[in-house]
Amino acid sequence: MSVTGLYLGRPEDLSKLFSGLLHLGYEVIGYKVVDNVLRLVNVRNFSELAKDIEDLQAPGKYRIQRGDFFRHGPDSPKKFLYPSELKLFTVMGDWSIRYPEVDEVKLAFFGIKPCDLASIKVMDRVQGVIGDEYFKLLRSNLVLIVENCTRPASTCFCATMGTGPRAKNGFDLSYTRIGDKLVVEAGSELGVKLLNLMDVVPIDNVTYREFEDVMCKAYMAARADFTTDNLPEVLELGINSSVFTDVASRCLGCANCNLVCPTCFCFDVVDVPRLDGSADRVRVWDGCLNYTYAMVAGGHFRPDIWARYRHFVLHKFAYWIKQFGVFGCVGCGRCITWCPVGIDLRETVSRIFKEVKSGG
Amino acid sequence: MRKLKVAVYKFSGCDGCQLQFLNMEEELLQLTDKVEFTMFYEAKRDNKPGPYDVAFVEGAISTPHEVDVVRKLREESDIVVAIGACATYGGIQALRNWANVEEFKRYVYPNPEWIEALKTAEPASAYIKVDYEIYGCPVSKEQLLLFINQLLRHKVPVLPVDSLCNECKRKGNVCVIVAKGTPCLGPVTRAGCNAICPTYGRGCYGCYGPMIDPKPELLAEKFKELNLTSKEIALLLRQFTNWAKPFREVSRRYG
Amino acid sequence: MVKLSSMLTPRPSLVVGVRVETSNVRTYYVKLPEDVNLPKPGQFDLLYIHGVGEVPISVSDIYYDKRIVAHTVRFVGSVTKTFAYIREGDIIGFRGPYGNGWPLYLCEGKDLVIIAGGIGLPPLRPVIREVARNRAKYNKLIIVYGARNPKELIYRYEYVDYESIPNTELYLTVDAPDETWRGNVGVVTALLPKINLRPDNSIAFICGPEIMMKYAVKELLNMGFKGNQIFLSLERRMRCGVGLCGHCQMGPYFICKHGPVFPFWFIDRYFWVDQI
Repeated sequence: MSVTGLYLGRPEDLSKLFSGLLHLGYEVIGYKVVDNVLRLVNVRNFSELAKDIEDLQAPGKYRIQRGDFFRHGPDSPKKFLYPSELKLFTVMGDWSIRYPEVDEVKLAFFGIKPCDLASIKVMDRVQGVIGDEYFKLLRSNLVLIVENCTRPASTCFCATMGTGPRAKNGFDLSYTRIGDKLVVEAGSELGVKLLNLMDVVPIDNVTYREFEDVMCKAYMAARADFTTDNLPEVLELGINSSVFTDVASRCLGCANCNLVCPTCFCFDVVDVPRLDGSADRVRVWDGCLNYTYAMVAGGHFRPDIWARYRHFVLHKFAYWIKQFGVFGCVGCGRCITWCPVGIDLRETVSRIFKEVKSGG
Repeated sequence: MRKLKVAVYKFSGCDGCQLQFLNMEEELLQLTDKVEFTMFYEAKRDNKPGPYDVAFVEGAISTPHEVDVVRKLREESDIVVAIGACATYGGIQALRNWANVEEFKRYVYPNPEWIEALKTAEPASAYIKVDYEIYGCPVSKEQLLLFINQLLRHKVPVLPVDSLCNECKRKGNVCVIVAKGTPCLGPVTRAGCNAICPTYGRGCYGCYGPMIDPKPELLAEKFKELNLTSKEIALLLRQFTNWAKPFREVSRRYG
Repeated sequence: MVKLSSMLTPRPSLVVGVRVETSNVRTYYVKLPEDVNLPKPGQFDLLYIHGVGEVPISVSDIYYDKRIVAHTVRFVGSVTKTFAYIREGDIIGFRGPYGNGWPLYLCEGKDLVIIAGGIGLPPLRPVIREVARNRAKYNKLIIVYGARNPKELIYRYEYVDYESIPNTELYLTVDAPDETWRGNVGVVTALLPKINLRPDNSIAFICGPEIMMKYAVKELLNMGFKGNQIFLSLERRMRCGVGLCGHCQMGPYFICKHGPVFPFWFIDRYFWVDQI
């Protein structure tokens, strides 16, 4: 029994955890290097998981190289839980409805970072009581093995958003790699069960101090140039700020930010009529940066790119709180890295923050 | 229901777009229950004169004769649909618009005086009112089929107009600009092809033409950061849809 | 295997009548499926044409006993244009009702001012019907309606009925009159100052193009109306009707589930912001 809840093991123990999950019938989703990018994919062997790799992330740029710690790639849990294309149903020629059948899979995310854990919690709020059935189906059997982030990337700001770099709750098991030590924490009943599969002992004082030190340093590294104190109100006060027009003057309107965002949930429904008289209705990801997003027949509510960009920013940091009680941004930095022209969300927010605070 | 009378006709182009009708294979059999290909030289011998309900026209308009024919087709058809990069933007034929056609003629043909060519190769819309355009080089048979299915259900046909990035990311591709520094026209190009090129790790060539509200001038700035020369940037934008105005203007700016 | 279902599933419903309103506006009378709730005035439904698409259409009349609901559609978009091919006896997909509806309970004992522009009248027609049915509950009814030209005025055939409701005033205006037009000329908002409204004891319901609503609100506020006496029905792109697809946001509000009817003072902070 450890009073801190933390246990000490070795990185090799992770393979036991991995096997344990497979044994319990879970499909394990973890990071694997595919074509020089860290991808979140179904992994069958522990050895497939990315190892000795580091991701270099900067605005508009992503590379990998040899290293000892990585954060993430373009994929987030959303890829699995809220797929980009999902056939809702087929309306047959006689108006009967055929719903798709899906396998009852049990997914385990292995080694996702606290920001992505937070993104799942955000999705929980968004889907709420009436939300997406497919999401809820997967969510009800979901296991979350989270790796705490000891070395945030230059695009990360989870500490500011309060989502990392250490996972606080909502996981089944979290682990932290410190050199050849592994610090493990169980966050659920299943987590305790999984912990017992590993060869761990209660954490000792020296390692605890090391853990604390590593997490504190990571925390300092994952901060943006603004705080969340009154952030929704401050940003809404800056609703007419020229910062939006200024930043958006570089924006392509391609919607990559929406598409890589782990929490963006907007969807369009596409009709696919067929010659046999049936027709599908397919749900596909949409994004507020797309021109057609706010278009209606005979009108347009946000024809200008700055207005669409402003909606993106304000939704994440202001409206989302009002709608769902959490921020829509988890500080993962994907929209910064994967923006083809490298627009930095943090910069936009902090400029408006400063402008409003200085009464500008 | 009366069958839809359809004409498929080609101007200056490679036949690739009308071939997409034939590539439908299985669906083609079902399609012929609802559609009568009244004129389709590529597919049959027995071609009948108009009027037609719908005329699908492929290829750029590049000779005076083609102007006459496309005008006649317009008169004979309720709906005219331009299909493919050539019929919608002039296609690769329009590459000659960047130079002097008389010089081309002298260079290529032993008797250039026999060649009757217009000064520029243009999309069908330069000469007639085009009701709808289906983009791509070639057009995708899925889009073609969707278009016809929409028409058959009396729907004003709609095809995607936002960026290719949407389709590319939905498909699970990784951005080639960000992960490899490969120049890609995806962020300014209309979706519709299901991101074929980026799926194979290559940049988009923009064959579907500019998306709605495109910003090629900003993407060109990014290409500069990727150490492309002005000439390279100009040529990137000067491919299958070089004559599309937003691409043409930025390409011109870079040389 | 698990079979999914979807709350976006349309219910096949019979079109029991079609009425031509103008050259590009028709009303579709839909028999509701048995287990569907009857709508309240101001709510909307999602109507699906097989293989074509789905559109949000506000309820323009409710026949409570026959369970028939009217939807007045203007043919402007790729889906609505297909409505021109829908005939009596056809099946269309239905789901609804969605949204909150007009707060009629607040209007009891008060003057009710209805301000509509163009295709904004249909969502307010059930309100007129309600006042006619329960006339004693409400004070004066004032209807102000404008369209681009006389041919685009919707429901012209029943204006006499509106005027025959006791204690009711009907004001009509068009931007571009034709030779038959004897009435007011100009925008709806220009007409407002000429009408004797009682800001101290009135509720205003407004629906029309966003620009018209902005001017109408300004005019009413000038007259002394308070933000909690003005209600607007707003429009946005919509895909789901239940606050999931994201499209209909105006600031933090989902028009589909928090609206489409809003008390003005709820939204005044966002209403004036350009391209919000």
